[in-house]
Amino acid sequence: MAIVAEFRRVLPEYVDLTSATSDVMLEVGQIGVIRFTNTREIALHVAVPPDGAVYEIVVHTKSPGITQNVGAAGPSGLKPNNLTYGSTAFGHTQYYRNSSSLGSGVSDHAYQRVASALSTSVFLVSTSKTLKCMVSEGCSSWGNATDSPTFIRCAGIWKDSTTEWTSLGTWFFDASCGTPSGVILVRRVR
Amino acid sequence: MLCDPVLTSFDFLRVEPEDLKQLLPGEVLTITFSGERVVGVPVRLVDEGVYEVIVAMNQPSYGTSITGADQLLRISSETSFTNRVVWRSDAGSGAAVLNAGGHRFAYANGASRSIVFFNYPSMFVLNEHICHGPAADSRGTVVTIGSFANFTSEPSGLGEFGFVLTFHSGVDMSGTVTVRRIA
Repeated sequence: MAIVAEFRRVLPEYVDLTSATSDVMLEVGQIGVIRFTNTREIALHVAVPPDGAVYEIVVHTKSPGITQNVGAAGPSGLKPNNLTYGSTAFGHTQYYRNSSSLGSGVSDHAYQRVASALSTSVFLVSTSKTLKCMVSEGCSSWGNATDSPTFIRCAGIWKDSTTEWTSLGTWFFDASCGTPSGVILVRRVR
Repeated sequence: MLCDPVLTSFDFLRVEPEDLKQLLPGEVLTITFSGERVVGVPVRLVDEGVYEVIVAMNQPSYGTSITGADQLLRISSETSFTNRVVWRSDAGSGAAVLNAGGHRFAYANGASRSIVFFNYPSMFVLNEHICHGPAADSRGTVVTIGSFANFTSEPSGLGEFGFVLTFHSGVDMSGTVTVRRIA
């Protein structure tokens, strides 16, 4: 049994990763900033340390606007290591309230599902090799008739205890989302 | 910029009131624990303070079946917390009221974030966490909790309040705790 403690004062330091071409290791407390324009796939270029880390990620989509009708509310999320895996590699649970109803659901995916359609999301990711999981503080989703907006809270787990999470990965929007623009903030918590 | 870290080691199972640290806004305490069922978090709670507490557990590993149990953030053994809980698991959705001796920051295994608002004699906590371990939580159950406590007494002085995380799943837990004072 062992416990080790570390006190530190952390003032926000922003690291612009928009033009990064290779992964950057954020220090604890640093915030990576990734701006994206007219694209659905955004490589975060954040390296994950071998013993795992915890990140808070904010995805803010600023266009198309909230009145944009993109049709289906397909899933958006994170592809760890910039890869997709087997179709049931990731578990996902959620509950939501859209313009017509309160509901919930479970599903499996080849990636870590976080949101639906166009969205602004805040979520926490733990990348430890032995237990890799995500929990969302909330997601406001919009882009079709029933999502104007929809509130979603969700969690997900990578059903694996042996694969190393070495690159935080790629954020993607569903194909129905057109070519959105926005900004992603990645704060390394630990 | 990052300031130089101040490193301090404690035996948290025997933490004394004089060991408690008062975080300034923006300051962070990170604890790494391995094979524990009780973890002391020696942060002196400040009246009108707001704290972010993130617990990321990584052992037992994914796929290990462990008993679902209320993992509690306790202030003192006398404190009574009311937890309002909403969840969606593989088995369905639900809601409950849980009276416990602490804020339920997690259930079995996973990761959690609690925002603690301390305004003596009251404490409010907002929490979201993912639960893994019991069979019904195989996809990682999403859980949201609002907690409230009203301290009816000041057992050891306002300045001596610290956290204790207690794991009740019957197995040793490993992971990290990060406490950031927000305000």
